Amino acid sequence: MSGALAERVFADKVEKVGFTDLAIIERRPFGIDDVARIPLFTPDLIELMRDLLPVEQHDQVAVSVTLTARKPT
Amino acid sequence: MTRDLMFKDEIQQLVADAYQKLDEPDGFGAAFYTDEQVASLSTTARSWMLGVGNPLAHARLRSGEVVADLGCGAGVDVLLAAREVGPTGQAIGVDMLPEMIERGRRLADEAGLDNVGFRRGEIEDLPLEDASVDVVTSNGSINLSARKSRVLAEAFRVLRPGGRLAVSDLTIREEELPSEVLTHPSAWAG
Repeated sequence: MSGALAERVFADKVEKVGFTDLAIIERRPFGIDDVARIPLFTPDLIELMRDLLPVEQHDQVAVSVTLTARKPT
Repeated sequence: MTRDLMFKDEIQQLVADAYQKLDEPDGFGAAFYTDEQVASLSTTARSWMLGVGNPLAHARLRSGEVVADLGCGAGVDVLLAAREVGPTGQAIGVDMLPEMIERGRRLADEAGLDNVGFRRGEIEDLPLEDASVDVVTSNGSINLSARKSRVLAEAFRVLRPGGRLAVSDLTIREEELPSEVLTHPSAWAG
């Protein structure tokens, strides 16, 4: 997650390498409870998030984006 | 230890360490897939559904196509893609971890799929020929790379003209996460 980019930055990189017809198909918010189910995140990181993030942000600490694009013919 | 990790090798090691510790994950990513997709997998394969979306749902795979999944982990999306492209097609998983490659091969064998291949390699330097693939997919792996533009350039290189990219990945608004969270080693691994 620390390596994740903002959606616009990620999409820009996709287009910059040459892809066209980029479409953001889906966005799924990931809250702390969702992130806690990812076994790669340790309990102390989850606890840190609960302690440091305002409650109103607990339902969205990241967003999973699904995008499609095409290599030009 | 909290550090603002910047180096590719350090990040790769954190990811490798985290995945090597995984024993029996709970398959939290199954929620993103269709009932039909989940039902086509063994119980063991379902437990390794660790993606953050369902790029295959939007990849519009066709019979006979060649698909490459970048950072395939245990290869669940590879297995699903292999079924979609059928015996005349091929699904190839690329992952840097030998444990994941081995696990993917076992799952493919158990599923009786012979149009599946797994290759150990970095997604920043794909072990695939130029213009050899119809569709590139990735599910929750590109954010783990320190060289995302390089990964995307490699995806572009291996795709045939007209080839498609279908990716699910985490995005964040960095300014909304405290530095203590962003610099936590575990936050680099998932």
